[in-house]
Amino acid sequence: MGGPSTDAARRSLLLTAVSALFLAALSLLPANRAWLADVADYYARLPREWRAMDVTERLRARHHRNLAVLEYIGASLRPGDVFLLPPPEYVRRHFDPVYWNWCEPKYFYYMLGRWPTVTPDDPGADRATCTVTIDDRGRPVFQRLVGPADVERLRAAFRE
Amino acid sequence: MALLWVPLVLWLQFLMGRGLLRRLHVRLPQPQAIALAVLAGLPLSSLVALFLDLVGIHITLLSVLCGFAGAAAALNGPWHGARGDARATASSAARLRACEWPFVAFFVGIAAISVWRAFYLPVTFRDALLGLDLVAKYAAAQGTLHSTVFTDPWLHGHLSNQPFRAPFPVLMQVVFRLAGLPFGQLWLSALFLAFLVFCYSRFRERVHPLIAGLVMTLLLASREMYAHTFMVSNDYATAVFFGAAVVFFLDYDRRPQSGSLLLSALFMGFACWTRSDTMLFVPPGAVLAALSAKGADRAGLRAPWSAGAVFLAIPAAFVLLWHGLYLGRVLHQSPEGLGGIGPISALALPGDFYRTAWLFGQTSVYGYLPLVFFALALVNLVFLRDRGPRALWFWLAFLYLGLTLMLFVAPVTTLENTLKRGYFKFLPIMALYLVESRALQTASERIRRWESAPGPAWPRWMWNRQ
Repeated sequence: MGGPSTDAARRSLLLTAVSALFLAALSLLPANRAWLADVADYYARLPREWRAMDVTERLRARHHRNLAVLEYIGASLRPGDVFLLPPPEYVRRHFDPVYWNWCEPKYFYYMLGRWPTVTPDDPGADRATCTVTIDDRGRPVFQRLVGPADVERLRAAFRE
Repeated sequence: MALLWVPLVLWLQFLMGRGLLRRLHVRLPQPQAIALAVLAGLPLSSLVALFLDLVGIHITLLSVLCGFAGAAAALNGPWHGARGDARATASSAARLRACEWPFVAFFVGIAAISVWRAFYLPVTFRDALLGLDLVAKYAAAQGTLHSTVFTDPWLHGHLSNQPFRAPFPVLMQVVFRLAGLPFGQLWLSALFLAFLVFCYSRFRERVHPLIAGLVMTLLLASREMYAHTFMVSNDYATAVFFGAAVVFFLDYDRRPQSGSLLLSALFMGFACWTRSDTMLFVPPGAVLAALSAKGADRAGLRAPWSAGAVFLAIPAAFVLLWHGLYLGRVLHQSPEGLGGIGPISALALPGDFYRTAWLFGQTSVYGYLPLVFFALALVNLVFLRDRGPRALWFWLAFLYLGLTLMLFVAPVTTLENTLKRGYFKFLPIMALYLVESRALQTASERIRRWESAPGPAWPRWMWNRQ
């Protein structure tokens, strides 16, 4: 039974099976298993992502609370406002240790556009007209500022 | 509209790359030639986009497409006898064999979801968000890299070094945002797919496809590097270009020809164009190029010094174009917060060497490729008495010493970020070593001999029961 071509086909089949076995063996190694679990999760999310193509929704799903805070701030800003960015340590301590990037000048600029911002340490911080503080329940509260004394009061609050 | 413009942009980039390879008289098997054309075309197109900005033409979709078309036409024109080389490369297409299909199906599955995520996800990495994509977003909107990011006073003092690192990913983000993609990023998929095809095709040239598939799987299965195939940063592209440069350097070291050296220097230049601190590895590479040129029979660049000079000059030109000309003369900016050189204590050096060596064992970050590399290198060196290609050892040593030195002297360099991602550059070289190693080449030879041996593949009782 079988000539040289059949033998070649059998060898090819055997090698294909070995390839599949090797691949299966590699997938069982712990780190690879974790990686493939990630990949499987990406595939599992695909139908949901396919249905949610809106750009803003995609941004929200990725940047979570960072974007949520900025959207809240953006809705309250008025032309001419200079926003006082709370310091990262304050935000990490009172708001969220993970989603704190929204108080970085570049992040703010990237997400919200060209709103003038200052940080508490900037020389021009006294010009600030508004800011956000975090209340006792960890929620951001937009505040209007009325002059350098107010800015100084907030500087002290941010240091708490 | 992205459905129309993105394929057109990619096609023009491919044409630019193909034209350049023709000019360099590169002859490769067709899958490698196509993949390499994409790998070369992407950074070439970024040069065109920067040129438009330099001469004061607004960067818009129209100007970019015209620039790309002009560059593609110039590089692919019928002059200089480019056609003959195209025929030579097109004749050696490789057919996939049955034993490769499980691997190929696996690669397709892994690559497809990466492409989807590159398209779907917004830019995520903090460094990219606050650096390259911040610049790209405003450049795409305002038609110039010299955007309000660099002029608005409220960002002054807060820019750090992130927006200044290197222009390639920035310009790619600009081009793909202009082409209609809300988050750019899809150029990463082109880079990833081209690198996948290039490596796999190259590996199966050297070893049996079964082994090539295994090595490619090890290279792909780096959890951290895979994430960077769909989330834009400087590091994945740098590793790809660095890897390609080392591939052609290895060719040059074996058979010193000016084409291989030029390609290697060019891809090293692209790596510097993607991450400027890659320049750190160029001077030792230039010395190695000079040593490789010694004793060359048919090298176009016969003199060792000229080989070294070429390897040094091309990457340096890329760095000077960005840091010297563009940042210095056009933007009038210099990176903030680089931190310079920190306090150095010789006592810390052994600790730094240990920490950087420790990284190789992080299978959750790099998969098993580094461990397989060390195990197989040991087998080769101790049992088979084979050192393997010396050029690869030198490049691995340059990388290890260079990255440890960065950790040692530069305060902004961290193990968790800078080095963790800087180590991506090791992975293609380690994979290349595996396929060049005597152990795997011997195994390949045995498989091939078994395939072509006369007689049944396995005892007849396993197959015919009657």
